[in-house]
Amino acid sequence: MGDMRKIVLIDDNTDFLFTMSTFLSRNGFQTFTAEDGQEGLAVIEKEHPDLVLLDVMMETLYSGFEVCRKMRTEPALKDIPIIGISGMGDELGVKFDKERDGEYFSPDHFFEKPVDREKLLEKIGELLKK
Amino acid sequence: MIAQGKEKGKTQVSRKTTDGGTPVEESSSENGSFLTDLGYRAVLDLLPCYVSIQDAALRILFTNSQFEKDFGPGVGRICHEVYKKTAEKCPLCPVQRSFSDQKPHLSEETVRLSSGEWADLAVYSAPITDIFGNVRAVIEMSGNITKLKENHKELAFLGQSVAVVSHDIKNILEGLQGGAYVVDEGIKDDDMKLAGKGWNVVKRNIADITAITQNILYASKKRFSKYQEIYLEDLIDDVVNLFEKKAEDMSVNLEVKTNPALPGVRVDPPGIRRMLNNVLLNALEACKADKENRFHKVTVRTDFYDKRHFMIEVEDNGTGMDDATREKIFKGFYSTKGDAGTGLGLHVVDKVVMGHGGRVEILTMPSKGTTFRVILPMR
Repeated sequence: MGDMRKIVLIDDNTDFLFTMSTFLSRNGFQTFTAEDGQEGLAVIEKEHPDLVLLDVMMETLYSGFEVCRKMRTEPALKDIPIIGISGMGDELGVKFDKERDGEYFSPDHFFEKPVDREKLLEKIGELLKK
Repeated sequence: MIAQGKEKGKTQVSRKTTDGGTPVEESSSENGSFLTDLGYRAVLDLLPCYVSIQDAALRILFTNSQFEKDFGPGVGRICHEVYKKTAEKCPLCPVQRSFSDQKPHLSEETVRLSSGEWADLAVYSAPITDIFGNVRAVIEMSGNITKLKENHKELAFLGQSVAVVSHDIKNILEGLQGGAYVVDEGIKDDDMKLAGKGWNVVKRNIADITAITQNILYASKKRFSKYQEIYLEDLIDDVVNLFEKKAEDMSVNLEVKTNPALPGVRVDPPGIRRMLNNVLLNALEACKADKENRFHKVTVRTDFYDKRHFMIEVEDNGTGMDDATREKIFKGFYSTKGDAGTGLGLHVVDKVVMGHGGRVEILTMPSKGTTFRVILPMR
């Protein structure tokens, strides 16, 4: 397990955590899951993962936006790539805009649910090469 | 009589009205001669809208028959007292505005008819000036736009429905896709335990999309309720049985306490079932969202409320709500569940309760829990 790349998944939807962590672990990653932002940050600080998969719209103490902001302002965590995920799309006006939201919420990439698994793997590979 | 002045929108009193308001000038017009015979009063009475003339103190000097039919006698009384049954003036009173700037005005007002019903009116006002240009009175004409407003609300609702449903369906597709993947992997590895876990995810998402579809149908269709006499206990047991597994998965203790003395009640069973589904789901979600490490329970209760009403209560010891949230939850599509909720469920609850002529009471406190009480009339 030592040389496996680590991914932390944070989402308040436990079904998503289970299915996505199954998918990622079967594609060679070591996964850690958290159901809210606060717990997620603790896991990130402990495991120092290679990448974080983060639900944006969690109604928990720390939302995805908050986790992202805290990671970006913490020197030890700021370079960990983040992929933001949400089911909220254009319809409700919640769409990540790197120019507009960059300072506050700056994931390296953004996927909408349902997540295209192949594209996700491609993007993870790309971000981990950097 | 009242004749149209040269300036657009202004009405001029050219000479004293005779009884019946026979206009002398128009009597010379051949095309309009039948109007002469009919008289202005009769023409105004034919209008399917409310016409009144008011003085600067908003005292009504004249009303047409449609006005009297829906609001009762108005002459001599104050406009807002007749229209709104209140001593307070309307904040954007078009009559006062016409008095002050001598121009026509338009406003929308919600008024109360003599029958007790509420109605939305589009109110137009125009000044009536004397030969010196002084405003002597204001004529007000109001059209009932209640139906139009309802259609407008339904259209807005439809627009929102499309947005929230699309969002919900995306989440469900994610669940179905993820669950199916896990089932496939389980079968591939001959790991039935894994396949079973994946299958549970698929089933949960099928249940979710079923609930959403039923809510959409309930919320968007004008359905006719079919009232029948039932024993609430049976209906409640049916609904609660559906949630037992879900409650167990969420580590929530679900219990039912019904008053056996409650007689059969006349309700629309599919409506009450849908309503209870939504309230129960909210209670379970509130327990799930509560991160305090405590024993969570949801209790469904039925009892008498008073001599003429019975109640169905769903009590949880989940997150509870603050006052601001409690105020907002029935305003279309407000959800406390972020990505997981649409607010459609409570819209349906509201629709069912209103349809039964009942009401909802919410007793809640942050971190303590919520009691959702539906009070319905005995029929």
